[in-house]
Amino acid sequence: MVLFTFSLISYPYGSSFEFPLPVFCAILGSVSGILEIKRILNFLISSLKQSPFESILVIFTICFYLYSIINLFPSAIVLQGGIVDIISHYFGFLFGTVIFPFRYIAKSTTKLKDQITKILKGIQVIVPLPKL
Amino acid sequence: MVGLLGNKTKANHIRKLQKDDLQLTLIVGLVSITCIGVFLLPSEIRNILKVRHGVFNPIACITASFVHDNSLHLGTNLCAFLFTTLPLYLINKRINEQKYFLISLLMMFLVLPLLNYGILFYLGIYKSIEYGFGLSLVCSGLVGFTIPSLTLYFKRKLEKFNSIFFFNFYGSFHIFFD
Repeated sequence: MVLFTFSLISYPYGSSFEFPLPVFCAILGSVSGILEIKRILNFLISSLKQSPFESILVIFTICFYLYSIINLFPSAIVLQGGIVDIISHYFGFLFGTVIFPFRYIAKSTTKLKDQITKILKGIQVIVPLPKL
Repeated sequence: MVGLLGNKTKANHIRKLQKDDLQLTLIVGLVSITCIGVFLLPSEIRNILKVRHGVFNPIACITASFVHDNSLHLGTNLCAFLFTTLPLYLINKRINEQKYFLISLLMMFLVLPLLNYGILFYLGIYKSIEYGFGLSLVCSGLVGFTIPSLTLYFKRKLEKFNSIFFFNFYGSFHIFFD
């Protein structure tokens, strides 16, 4: 998740780095993805016989996701420096991606105090904070 | 007796699913009709509904999502909205997360524009452009929502599926296609 977000944010500024960081993130992401893609493909092929509608639906969603990524973040705009035009797209995309974990925080804990402790523990994994 | 109870539970479950379907149809129908209706309004009224530089209006932040200036913009945004909402709803329905999807969809219409335009206004980024409008903000939120939806779908379907790997894989696609 951190790798993904970082590659997203750093992409427009990629040319300013000597080492192309987004490319590094992309390679890392692809390698980790290839390790799992075989299992997904096997599952989709096997479920194509059992429930073809569900498999077609998933394949369509993946294809449409890739298509909309090209349209939402057109490289022509990013490379020309007109990032203002699509900054809302980045924000919306991140909002849609991040909205999901909050469901599990709210579902797994009932008390507000527990929720806050859980969030703080999550932050401490990334950034070490002094003990409360 | 057990059979009767089972039938009752099944009937309740089907009724609940039908209720969720109806809610989605209502949301999609209302959004489409509102967008088309706003598009047919005179441009002076449409400009009032847009987010404007210099004036932070929370109501305009929400209404701006329904404003489009030309038919191509309206058509592509509505198509993108339909092609993301319906498959995502069906996928979430398969894993019994349809209610959460509907709540998230409502949040994308009410909370996301407020946050987005609020932050951009606070940072002063909107100084360079006059207006902010369009359904593409919600569409991009829905596209972002595809990742956790599919991750959860595969995680439930495949027992040993590593969701972090899947997440990174999607991220890498974004970089390559850009």
